[in-house]
Amino acid sequence: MNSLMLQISELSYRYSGARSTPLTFPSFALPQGQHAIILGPSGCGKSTLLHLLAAILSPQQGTLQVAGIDITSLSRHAADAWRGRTIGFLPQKLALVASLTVHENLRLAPYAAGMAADASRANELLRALGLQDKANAKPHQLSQGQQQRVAIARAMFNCPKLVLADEPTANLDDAACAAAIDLIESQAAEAGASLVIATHDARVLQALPDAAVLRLSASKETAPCA
Amino acid sequence: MRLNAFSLALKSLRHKPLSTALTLLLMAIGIAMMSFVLSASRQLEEGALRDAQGIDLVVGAKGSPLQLILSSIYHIDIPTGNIPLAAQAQLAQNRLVKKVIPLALGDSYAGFRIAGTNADYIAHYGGKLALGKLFDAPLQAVLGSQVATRTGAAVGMTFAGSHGLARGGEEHKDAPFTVVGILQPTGTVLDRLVLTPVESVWRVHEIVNGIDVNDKEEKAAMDEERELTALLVQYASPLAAVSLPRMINSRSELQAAQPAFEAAKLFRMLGVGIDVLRGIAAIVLLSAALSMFVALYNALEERKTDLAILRVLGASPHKLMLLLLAEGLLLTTLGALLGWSLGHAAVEVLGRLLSNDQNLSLSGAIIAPDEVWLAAVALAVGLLASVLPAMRAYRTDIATTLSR
Repeated sequence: MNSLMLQISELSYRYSGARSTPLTFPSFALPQGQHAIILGPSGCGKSTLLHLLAAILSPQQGTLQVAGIDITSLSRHAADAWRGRTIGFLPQKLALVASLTVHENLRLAPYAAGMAADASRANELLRALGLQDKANAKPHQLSQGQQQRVAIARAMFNCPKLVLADEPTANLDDAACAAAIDLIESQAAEAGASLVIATHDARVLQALPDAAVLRLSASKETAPCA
Repeated sequence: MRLNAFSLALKSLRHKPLSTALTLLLMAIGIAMMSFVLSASRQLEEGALRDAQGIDLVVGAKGSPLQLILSSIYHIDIPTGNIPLAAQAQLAQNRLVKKVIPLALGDSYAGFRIAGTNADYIAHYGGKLALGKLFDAPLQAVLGSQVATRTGAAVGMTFAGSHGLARGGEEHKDAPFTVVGILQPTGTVLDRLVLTPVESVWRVHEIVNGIDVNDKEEKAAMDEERELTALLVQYASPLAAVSLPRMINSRSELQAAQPAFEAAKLFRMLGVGIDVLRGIAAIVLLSAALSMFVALYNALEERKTDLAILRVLGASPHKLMLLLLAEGLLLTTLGALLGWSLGHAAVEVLGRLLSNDQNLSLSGAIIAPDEVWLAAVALAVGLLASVLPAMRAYRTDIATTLSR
């Protein structure tokens, strides 16, 4: 039996503010090497769950184990260090740093995680993503697709165990959607990482037919909207 | 280039060239004003102290004591008048007096004052010959280093003095001086003087006025009327300070002025202006700090997503805080270096402009000890301006920022 990459049990999170309703998430387990899709309509807590999985947010209740570590028990500092080394995060906004070149944007990953920067790793990723001639370009000189590839390369730089992608296919046409999922999956496989995608886009299900699916609904009993 | 807080801060600053340049400029102007005021006032004060060092009293004609000090020690004002030659001998015999140095002024050469005096004056300022010898006869001249450099005069050369202490006076062509020596630089008023025996000053005016110096009767009559401009006095004991000035001032034709007292008075008067300049510089510096704060704060708003991404990639809140502090410190350091260079360049330019007046000596290469404080002030300004944005960066809410 495969060991688990992800295990969620009786997890709930409540944003600060008197009016906010707690978000509760169904229990879920993901074996290592497998992929999962968190599916649900906009505002049902998909991004919140991804932030919980990345130890960006800390749940008020429940257990949350990633790669065998109970991340709810980590201190803030330890959670930052753990995230830098374990998680590859692809936010919905590509968020490349405008003042840095493509190469520097990639090297931001080891800098932030306090790891030794490896220029050859950056070159290798750029080659793999067909961006070798854009190493010295600034983000504004890239197309949307190229920017997404840089963001993917940056998420993969530190060889994460778990890749979390938030709405990676939003605003993409069918062909671009399939290409993006294919690229993320192949890069995650290259890094030997499991992949969790949060999306409301049903096309992702077709692109990753073998992935486990965690459905969230806007129902108040399970996962009210954030 | 290796990525670290400073290289990232530098790249971020270069990404907004206009905003960075304006903040830098404001900071540089504040620091430039501060360093200019500190360096120039310090040099003027030190120069004034050096020139007055060892001179306890100046005795001259009645008038403004400050004018007497300015004309006899700093050679930047017209003398109050003349005093009888006999006063020198009378003072020299006083047991409270250690040394009396005579000064006879009235003429100039190429804008530099010709000072009739004796070898004691040169020794008092530590003057040493670079070339030639000291004067030992009337109409021989020893040039201060600055005079020699500026006029290009050499030993053996002759020149005619001009009447009066400013340029453009009538030349005494019938009584030319011969340069017999050139002094090494001393950093004192000596560098800006043409030194000659007191007798030279008398001789020039005797020749000009057509008096036959070989006629014994005429010479005897002249000797009785001989005058000096001032006497520089060194006390034999501190007790002299109590009684000697009062004793001299009680004589109707003489006044005694104390350089320490008059210089302090002068600097008190100048101090008001210097304080105003310092105040203006402080306001500019404060504006620079505010401008830097606004620039960093606004930039923070624009870079919230960048900071959130850094946190997602594993950067601790401390790392983000350090990044913002590095940006503030980098701006401050660059602004301070630029301002300091500008301030000293301005002192150098002012020194060169003033060197035409041969009164004041200023150099951009001299650093006032107080300027060390400027570095600390600049650092404090940078920290103050960046600490609040850094605190905000520390508290970056990743989840909210990424969800927007």
